[in-house]
Amino acid sequence: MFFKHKEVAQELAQQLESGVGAIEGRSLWQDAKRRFFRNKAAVMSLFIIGLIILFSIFGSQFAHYSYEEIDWFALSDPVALGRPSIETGHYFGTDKLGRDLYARTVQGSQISLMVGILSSLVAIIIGTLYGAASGFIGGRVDMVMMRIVEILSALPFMFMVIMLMVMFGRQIILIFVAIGAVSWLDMARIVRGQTLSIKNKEYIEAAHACGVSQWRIVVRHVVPNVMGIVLVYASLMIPGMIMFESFISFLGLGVQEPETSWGALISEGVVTMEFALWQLAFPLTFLVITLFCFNFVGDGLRDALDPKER
Amino acid sequence: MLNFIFRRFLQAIPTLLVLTILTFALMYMAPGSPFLTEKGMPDEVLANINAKYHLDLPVWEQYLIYLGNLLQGDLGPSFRYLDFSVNDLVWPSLAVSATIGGWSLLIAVILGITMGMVAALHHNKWLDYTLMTTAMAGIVLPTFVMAPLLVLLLSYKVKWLPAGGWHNGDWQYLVLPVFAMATHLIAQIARITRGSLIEVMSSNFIRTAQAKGLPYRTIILRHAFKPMMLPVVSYLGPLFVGVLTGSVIIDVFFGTGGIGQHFVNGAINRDYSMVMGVTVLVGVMYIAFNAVTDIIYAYIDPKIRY
Amino acid sequence: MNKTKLLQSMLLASAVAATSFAPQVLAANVPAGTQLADVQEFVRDNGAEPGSLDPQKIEGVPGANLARDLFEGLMNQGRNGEELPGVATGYTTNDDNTVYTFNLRDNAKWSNGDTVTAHDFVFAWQRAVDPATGSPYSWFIEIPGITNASAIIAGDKDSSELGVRAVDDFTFEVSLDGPVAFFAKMVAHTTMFPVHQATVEAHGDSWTKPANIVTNGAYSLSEWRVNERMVMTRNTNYWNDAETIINKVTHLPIEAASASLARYRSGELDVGSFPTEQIKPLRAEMGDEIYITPKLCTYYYIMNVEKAPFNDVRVRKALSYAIDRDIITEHITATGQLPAYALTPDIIHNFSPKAPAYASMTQAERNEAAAALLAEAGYSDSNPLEMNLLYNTSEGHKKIAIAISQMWKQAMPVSTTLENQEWKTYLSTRNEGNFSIARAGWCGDYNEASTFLDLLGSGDNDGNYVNQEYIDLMKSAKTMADPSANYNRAEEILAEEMPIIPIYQYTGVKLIKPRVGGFAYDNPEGNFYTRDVFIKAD
Repeated sequence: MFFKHKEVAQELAQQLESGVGAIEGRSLWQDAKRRFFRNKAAVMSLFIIGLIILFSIFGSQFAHYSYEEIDWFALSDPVALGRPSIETGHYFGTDKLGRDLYARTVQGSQISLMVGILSSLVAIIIGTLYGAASGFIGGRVDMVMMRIVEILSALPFMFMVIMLMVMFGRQIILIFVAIGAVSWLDMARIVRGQTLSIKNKEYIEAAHACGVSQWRIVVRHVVPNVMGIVLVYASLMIPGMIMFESFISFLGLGVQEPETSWGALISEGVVTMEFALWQLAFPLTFLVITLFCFNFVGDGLRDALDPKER
Repeated sequence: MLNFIFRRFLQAIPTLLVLTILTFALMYMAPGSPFLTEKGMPDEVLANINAKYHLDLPVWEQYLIYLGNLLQGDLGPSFRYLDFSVNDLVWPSLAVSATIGGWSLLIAVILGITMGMVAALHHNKWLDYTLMTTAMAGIVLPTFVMAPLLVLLLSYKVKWLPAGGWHNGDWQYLVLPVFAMATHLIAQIARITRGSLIEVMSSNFIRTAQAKGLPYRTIILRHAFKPMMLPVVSYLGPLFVGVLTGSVIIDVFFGTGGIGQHFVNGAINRDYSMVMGVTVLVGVMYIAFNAVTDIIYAYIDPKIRY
Repeated sequence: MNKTKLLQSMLLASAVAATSFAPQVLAANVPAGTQLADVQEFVRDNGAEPGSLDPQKIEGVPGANLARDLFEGLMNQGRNGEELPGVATGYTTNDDNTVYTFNLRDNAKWSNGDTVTAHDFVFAWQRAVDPATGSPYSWFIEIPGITNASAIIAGDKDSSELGVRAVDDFTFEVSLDGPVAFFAKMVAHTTMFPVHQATVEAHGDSWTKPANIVTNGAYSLSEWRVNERMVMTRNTNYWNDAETIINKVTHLPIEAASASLARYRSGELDVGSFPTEQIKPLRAEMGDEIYITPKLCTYYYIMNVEKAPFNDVRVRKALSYAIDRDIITEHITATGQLPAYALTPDIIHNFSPKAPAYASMTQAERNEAAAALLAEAGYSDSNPLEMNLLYNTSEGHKKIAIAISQMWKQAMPVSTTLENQEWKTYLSTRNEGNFSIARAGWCGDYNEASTFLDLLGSGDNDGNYVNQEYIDLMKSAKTMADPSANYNRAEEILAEEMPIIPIYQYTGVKLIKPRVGGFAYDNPEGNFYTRDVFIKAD
């Protein structure tokens, strides 16, 4: 039991060190893979996420309108003429400006998926390493590192966004920077908490005794052991990120018209939900399905990577 | 313990100092100023107002004045609500947000931990899926969808509850904001708890306990509960601050007069002293809750040293 | 505890109602035969939290709405914008209209029982221009040219030298540098409301708190919870209290229109608003509760005429022509707005702006002319006009910007990048002239065309537009008995040179419950007084 655990941990650590990839021929990794693919909910979810990604990339091929073009006819009465319909070519209806909601949902999917996945990834990597290092090294370093986290958490986020905008202008990459810049903080705190507890475990002490360097212990032994909770937290983070993006857009950063995102579409759709439900329903459905899927995939990954299972 | 608290207190001073300096710098670098309006005003008029609020002084001098006032507990005059000082505004609105947040958190912690534990103990069974799917509904429906939906159903269609207002915290006015906020939190706490307990249940010491034939209830409550709580506590620390300081969406939609609005409006209006006030407040809370979290860590796992 | 309080206040309310109305002495503005409700309480959405309740510091509509209930100036404004007596029963002027003498009524009282005198007005007006007050609206005293106002604001003279004087307790005299025809209308503005000197001096910036404030209007302030509610109760010392009907008015600072609609529908508001997207379904649901009235405001785009490409008048005209204003007003703003081709709105008092020539063309003709102008300016499909359109973050501005950018794109080779900025960043960008074309809007401070046309009348504007003829026209208009000719010529210049693109004239939309009577929702400046309101019995 104990050996297996450590080996998997090392495997994971190597994965992390060498970046992702180069999986072939590693029986334990394949073991995890097999376990993951035995989990029906997770596999199904992964498949659906794949479909949504395909939709976001190729969906525009099937659109009759571009995402920015106004259908002046539909604009004259979006509630009656902007209904979802196959004949008009507005499969998802139009938004309140008479723009094709199908094309806009496709466009919004690209942005939201990118925001959700990329910024979570950024937050996970920075947060995990920072938190593990802080908790593991401990002492003065931990103290200073955690005080820095406190300062960054309390800084008024709005001004950070405003300054980013002033310095870099409107660039989509800024969304990731802005979101990543704040969301790794909580991750760091959680990982640090786990690390504090892990670092007293026998196997860490054993590694110490064998003269393994601190950095290697962190990456090879500590990080793999907090992976479970990191994955669970990450599956909470993705929906947060996608929603957060709409808040940043509201500040004038984030996506700029005519580009859009799920969050932006949903917040517009809420206003009209009583009489033009489709304007809320389509983007919200995509969001909900995606979030559920990420959730199940996260759980599946957690189970598969947990050597203590089964 | 006392020694620990004292050390943290000493560390808080430079932390807050750095925080205020950074915030001050950030604020003054941002474009716009408190009295810049669309209508504009003659230069002399603007100069008079700026002089009245010391905005004509060099930034470092303004900072020193601010710091001096802060040490006396004065958060300065608001530049958006000219009849009020920041102290006048922050404390009543914090009380509102803390009430909504406190109830939401209480409900969320109890329900979330219970749901998470039940789900974990039925790992990958139908009960697990049902509970987690229900909980997820709270995450996937963003607050700005949840709030209008609740009002549409409960205030307009059936007219059970008021659609907004605070009325000194009468319970009818609390239900919807607390509900809108708590649903979100329950799901998060439940998921963290679940993940943590699954992990704990498969660790060696639980297996040993099981091998010893200890009763199930004892294993869960005596042995598994504490280590399970470790990541939950880590998560609750920052969550606590976020929840106590409110949510803009709740404040705006329900018109409760909570502090969340001051975070956003303060920044949008360049109400410098308000921004500083809420930042210092949040900073103090983060520092305090982190210290509390660390104390709880040590209680959960006595081996943890700092 | 709460229940007893509620009961007490209910008893109190009905007691007040009983004593005031038992003899059936109805106020003048209640139509005969109207059955009044037993409880006269009025709850309205005030749109936003005011920046201040101090009359000399108020800027913006929310604060002004509240101040009109708490304070009363020399003159009031009637439903149609006419002058009505306020604290002053009337006024006289000297032969060249430079000295105004207001006769104050002797029964006007402050809420603490003190008499309202001419000295209160002298104090308030001096306070408005005193640099130490830091009044953002002090320039309002400069507009009519009250003697020495500018010098005092600039710090060159003491505020005691302002051209106002209390001849005796009930005679207030104002000296102007030159005759200003619309001066008497301006005194209904909050900046010129009186304040209670002793209270202001005793409490400093916090004199407007419920515990401290002394008012001379129909109401006094009893509760103020920022961002939640403000409650006012009847000021029994008000000189015309006998004609006041509403006993308690609650103003809610609801910023989100969707929240306002929700609370209106659930019966918590007597007057509310709604997101304009919902106009059609709401018409079906409660059409007779929707009130749309023209407002004294113009929505326009401003161009930076110093920077290419907008230093070319042909480009400016082309962009203006290619906007189909009818589509904007009918389908996008969609709540009764009027297309604007001139800066001054049609409803302005004493002046009907002559529509420029391009207003009477069809949109097809305009688009054709626009394409021709742009081609003449050297733009083509291979060399399209590229520019950023700046607007501040808001759903409404966004929709208009999207539609207009599409109109341009379809009419001629123009490629627009939409750029939204958060409020203060936008203001600072505009102020510093770092834009090429930007959204703007203007609401009149008083009901006279110069409040609009003066925008470009000094050469100091965000678009850096300077035209000497225009400046001279506006200067000489100040002292003319009928400046219409000058105003028309000024509008002509704007249509010829197109430094701004007028888009539409605002309307105000409100939801008003059928039980509300006497509410002056249709005043062009949005000025109303709660003391005119009454609640009808069901």
